[in-house]
Amino acid sequence: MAEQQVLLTVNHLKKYYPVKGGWFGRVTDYVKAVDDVSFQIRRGETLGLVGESGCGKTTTARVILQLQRPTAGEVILNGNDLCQMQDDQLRSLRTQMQIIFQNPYTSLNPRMTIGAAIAEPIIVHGIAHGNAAHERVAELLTMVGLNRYFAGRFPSEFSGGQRQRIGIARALSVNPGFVICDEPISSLDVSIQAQIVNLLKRLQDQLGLTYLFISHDLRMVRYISNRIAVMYLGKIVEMGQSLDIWKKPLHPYTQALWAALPLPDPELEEKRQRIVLQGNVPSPINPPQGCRFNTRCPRVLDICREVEPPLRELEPDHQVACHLYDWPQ
Amino acid sequence: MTRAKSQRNAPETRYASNWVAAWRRFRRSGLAMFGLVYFIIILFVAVMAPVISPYPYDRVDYGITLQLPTWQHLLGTDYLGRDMLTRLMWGARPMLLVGILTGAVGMVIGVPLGILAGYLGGAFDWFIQRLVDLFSALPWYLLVLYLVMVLSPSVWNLILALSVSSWVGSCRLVRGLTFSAREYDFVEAARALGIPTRQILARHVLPQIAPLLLWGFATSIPGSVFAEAGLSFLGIGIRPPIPSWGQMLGQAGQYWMYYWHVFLFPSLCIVISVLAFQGLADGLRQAIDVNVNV
Amino acid sequence: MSPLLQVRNLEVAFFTKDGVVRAVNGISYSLEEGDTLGIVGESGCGKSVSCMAMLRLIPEPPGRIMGGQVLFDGIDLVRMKRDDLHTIRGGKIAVIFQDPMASLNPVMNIGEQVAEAITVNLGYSHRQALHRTVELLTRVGIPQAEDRVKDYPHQFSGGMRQRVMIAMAISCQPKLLIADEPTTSLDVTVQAQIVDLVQSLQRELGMAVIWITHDLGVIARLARHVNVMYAGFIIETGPAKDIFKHPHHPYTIGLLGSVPKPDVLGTQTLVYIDGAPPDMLQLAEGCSFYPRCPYHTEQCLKERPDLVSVGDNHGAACWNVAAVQARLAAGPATAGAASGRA
Ligand SMILES: Nc1ncnc2c1ncn2[C@@H]1O[C@H](COP(=O)(O)OP(=O)(O)OP(=O)(O)O)[C@@H](O)[C@H]1O
Ligand SMILES: Nc1ncnc2c1ncn2[C@@H]1O[C@H](COP(=O)(O)OP(=O)(O)OP(=O)(O)O)[C@@H](O)[C@H]1O
Ligand SMILES: [Mg+2]
Ligand SMILES: [Mg+2]
Repeated sequence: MAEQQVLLTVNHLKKYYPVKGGWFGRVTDYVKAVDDVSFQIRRGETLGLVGESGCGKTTTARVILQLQRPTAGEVILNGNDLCQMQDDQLRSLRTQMQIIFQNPYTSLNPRMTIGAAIAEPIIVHGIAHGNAAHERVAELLTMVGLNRYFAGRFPSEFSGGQRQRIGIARALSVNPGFVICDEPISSLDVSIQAQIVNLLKRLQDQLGLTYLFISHDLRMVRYISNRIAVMYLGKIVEMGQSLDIWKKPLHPYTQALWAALPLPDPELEEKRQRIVLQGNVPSPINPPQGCRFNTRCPRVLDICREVEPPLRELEPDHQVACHLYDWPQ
Repeated sequence: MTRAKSQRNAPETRYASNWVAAWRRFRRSGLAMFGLVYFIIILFVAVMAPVISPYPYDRVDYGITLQLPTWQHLLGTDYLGRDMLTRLMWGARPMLLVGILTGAVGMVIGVPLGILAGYLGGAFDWFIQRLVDLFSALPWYLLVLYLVMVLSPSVWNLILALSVSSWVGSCRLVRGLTFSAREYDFVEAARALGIPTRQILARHVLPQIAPLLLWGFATSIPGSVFAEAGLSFLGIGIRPPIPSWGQMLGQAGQYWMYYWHVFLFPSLCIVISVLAFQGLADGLRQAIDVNVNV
Repeated sequence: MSPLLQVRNLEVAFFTKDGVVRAVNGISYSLEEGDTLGIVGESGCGKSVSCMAMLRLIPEPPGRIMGGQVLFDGIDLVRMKRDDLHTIRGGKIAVIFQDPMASLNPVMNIGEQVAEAITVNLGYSHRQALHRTVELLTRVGIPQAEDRVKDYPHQFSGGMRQRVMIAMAISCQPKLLIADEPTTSLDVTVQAQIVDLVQSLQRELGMAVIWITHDLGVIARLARHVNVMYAGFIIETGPAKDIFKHPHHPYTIGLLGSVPKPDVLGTQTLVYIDGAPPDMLQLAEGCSFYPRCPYHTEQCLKERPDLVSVGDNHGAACWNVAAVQARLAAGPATAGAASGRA
C-alpha cells in the first residue's frame, strides 16, 4: 500500500470499558469492546465493517473519531495522531472527519430547525458567515436531494429517509474528506435504503469522499465497499478486497456469515449449501481463550482453544486470523 | 405511524401542536387547573394588595381586638384589632417572593453546576457530587435557623438562607438530566462536528432539559412556602409588622382555642397554597412528559 | 378439499384522533395445510394487523374489523364468539412475535412459563407439563434444557428467547403458525438458525406457516407463496419463484431492485423506489402506489386496480402490467427508477 494514498491508519486500537461489581463498585472486569484492531483506509475508497450486534463496530467508530478516548492504540488521519491531541486541537480537525448515525430520529436536535442545525458547524468553523452560510445550507440541501426551502422546518416534519438525508447534509457541511457511516440505513424501510445508499455513492464520486461503512447488512456492505473487514468479538478476523471476501471467504466465521445471509432468489436458495452456526456470540467480558470464535467454529482445531491466531496476509491484500491456514496445505 | 404523520408537512402547526398537546395533557388534571387558577389569583392579590386590601395592614385598633368575622371585617380581626383579610392579602407577598425566588436562586446556582457536572463528568463531577452529598446530609433547618439569626431576619436573608439548600435539588436534577442528554445522538453529533462545549450545552442540552427544569422549579415552591411559614411561625422569618401567614399563625398561638378564625384562615391559606403549587407541578410534569422523550 | 385458511375481503380500520387509518383494505387469500406463505411489505402497510385481526388480537377500540371472512377449517373466526376464540388461539393457531421479551414474563422462570401454556392448552398435570417443557426446549435447540428451565428471560439471549417462544407455540401442535417478523431483531447467524428451526419443525409437524417480514431474502429462503402488501392492499401475489423471477407490479420490481444481487458489483447503481411510503390516513382514490410509480397513467390516479391474473396462480394489481413488462424487456437497468434522483 503506497503511503501517500493512505488516509487513515488505525494501529492496535483498544477500547476496554470497566465493569463495576462487588461491594464497593470496584472495577472487577473489562468489556473488551475493541481489542487490538488495526487497518488502513485509502483515499477515496470505502472500507466496509461487518459483524454481529455487540462486536464493537460502533465503538470502533467512536474511538476513531475520539468521541471516546481509546484505551490504547493510534489513529492517524492525514498524518496526525488523533489520540495524542488535546480536545481543542481536535476540534479544528473535526472538519476532516464526520459521522452519519444509525437512527435518524434521534440524531437531529428536535428543537432546532434543520437549517440552523446544518449552519451551526459552518459558522463555528468559520467556513462561511451570514448570507453565505445560508447559501451553503441551501446548496447542501439540494445536494442531498432535498428542497432548499426546507431549511426553516423542524425535524419532526420529515420522514426517516429525509432525516437521514439531513444528517448527511450536516456531516458534509464542514467538507470532510473522511466519513464514517454507522449503519446509516438499518432503521429505514427497504425501499428507502437503496435511495440512501445511492446518494452516498453519488456523493462519494462527486466529492471524493472516503467512507468507513458499518453495517450488519452484508449485501449492502458488499455492494458499496471496495474492501471489507469482518469483526468478531472486538477483533478483525478477516479483511480484504470486497470481491475476494465474497467469492473466497477464508475465515470460517465469514463463511458462516455469508451462508446465513438469505439471498433474494428462491432458486439460488434451494441449491445453496448451508452452514448454520451453533450457539450465540459469547460475552465480550470474558471472551473465549485462544481464537474467540472457537466455541462456534465448525472447523475448530485443538490449537484454536489455546493460541490466538494473528491476522496474517495470506494472499495479496487479503488477511485472515485463523489457524486453518497456519501451514500451506 | 410517526413516519406516516410527518409526511403531511404543515410547517408551523406541527411545532405549535406540541404546545397544544401539552396544554391538553395539563388540562386533564383537575388539580393542575386548580393550581394554575389559584396561582393567577394569588399573584394578582399579592401585586395589588395595597390597592385592593380594605385597610392598611398595620392599622391597630384596640377597640376591636379578636373580633369574629363581621361585615366590616370579613375574616375578623387579630389580637391587635388588625383586619385579618388585609393581612392575609399582604401575606401572599412574602409567600410568593420566598417561594419563587428561593427556587430561582437555587436554579441560578444549581443549573450551571449540575450541567457542568453531568456533561464533563470526571473529577469535577466527583467534587460537585460530594458537595451535594454534604449539603443534603446537613440538617438544613438548623443551618437556615443559624443563618437567619446571624444575618438578621428579613425576606431577603430568608431567601438567601433557604437557597443554601435549595440549589442541591436543582443541581441533582440537572446533573441527572444532562448525564442522560449527553448520550443523545444529536449531542454526540454536535461533538463530532466540533461545536464548542459551551455552545453544545446552551443550544443542544439546555433546551432539551428546560421543560423538566420548569417542573423542578414548580416542585420546589411548596417546600419553600412551608419553610417560610415555619420560620415565620417561629419568629425568625418575616419580621412584624409586615404580615406573613406563618407569622400570623404564630401570633394566633395563645388565642386559637377561643378565637378559631385567627388560626383557621392563615392555616387554610398555607395548606391551599401548598396543594395548589403541588398540583401545578404535577400538571406540568404530565404536560411535558411526552416532549421530553425526544 | 377446502384450504386450511381462507381470508375473504378482510377489512380493518383504526379510528384515531387524527382520522381513520385504513390499515387493511379488503384482502383475500388462502393457505393449504402444511403450506408456507410469506407476507412482505414496508413498515406500516398492514402486515401485522391483517394477521392479528384474524385472531381478533387488535385493540378494539380504536381498531375495528369492518368486514370480511376468515375461514379456518371452515369456521368463520370473524363471527366467532370471543369466548370460543381461545380454543383456536394458542391451540390450532399459534403466533410468535418480533420482540420475544415483550411476550415473556420477566419475573417467572422459563420452565414455568412454557409449562403454564401447556397446562392451560392441553390440560396436562404440572409434572407432565414440566417434563414436556424440557422435551420441547431440547427440540428447539436449547442446550441443557433441564437446567436452563430455571433461568429467567433476561438470562437468555435474543435468539434463545425466540426459541422459547417457538417452543411455546408448537407445544399444542398447531395447524398454523403465524411468525410476525420473528428474526428482525436478531443477528444474521442467529436469524439463520431460527429460520432453519422453523422449517424443520414445519416438516416434522406438518403445520402451515405464515411468515411476515420485510426481508426479501428470508422470503426467498422459506416461502412457497408470497403476498406483497402496500398500503393495506395485496398488490401482488404468486408463487415465490415466479415473483422473484418475473415480478409484475412496479412496487415489487422496485423492491427487488433495491436489494443488491450477489453478482452485481458496486459500479452499478441500485434500482430503487422514489418517494416515501404512503400516509395511511389519506388513502388515494386510485392506486396507492401512484405517487411513487414510474409507469403511472391517468387511469391510475382515478381508479383503483384489482388483482389481475398474470400467470399461473400469479396476480398483480396494476393497470399497466403489459406496458411495465414491455419496458422491463427493453432495459432492465431503468426499471423502477425512471423518475429516479438519488
Ligand atoms: N459505554 C459503554 N460502557 C460499557 N460497555 C459498552 C459501552 N458501549 C458499548 N459497550 C459494550 O461494548 C460492546 C460493543 O458495543 P458496540 O456498540 O460497539 O457494538 P456494535 O458492533 O456497534 O453493535 P450493534 O450492531 O448492536 O450496534 C458491547 O458488548 C457493548 O455492550
Ligand atoms: N392500535 C393502533 N391504533 C391506530 N393505528 C394502528 C394501530 N395498530 C396499527 N395501526 C396502523 O395500522 C397500519 C398497519 O400497521 P401494521 O402493524 O399492520 O404494519 P406492519 O405492516 O406490520 O408494519 P411493521 O413492518 O412496522 O411491523 C399502520 O399504518 C399503523 O399506523
Ligand atoms: Mg452499533
Ligand atoms: Mg408488524
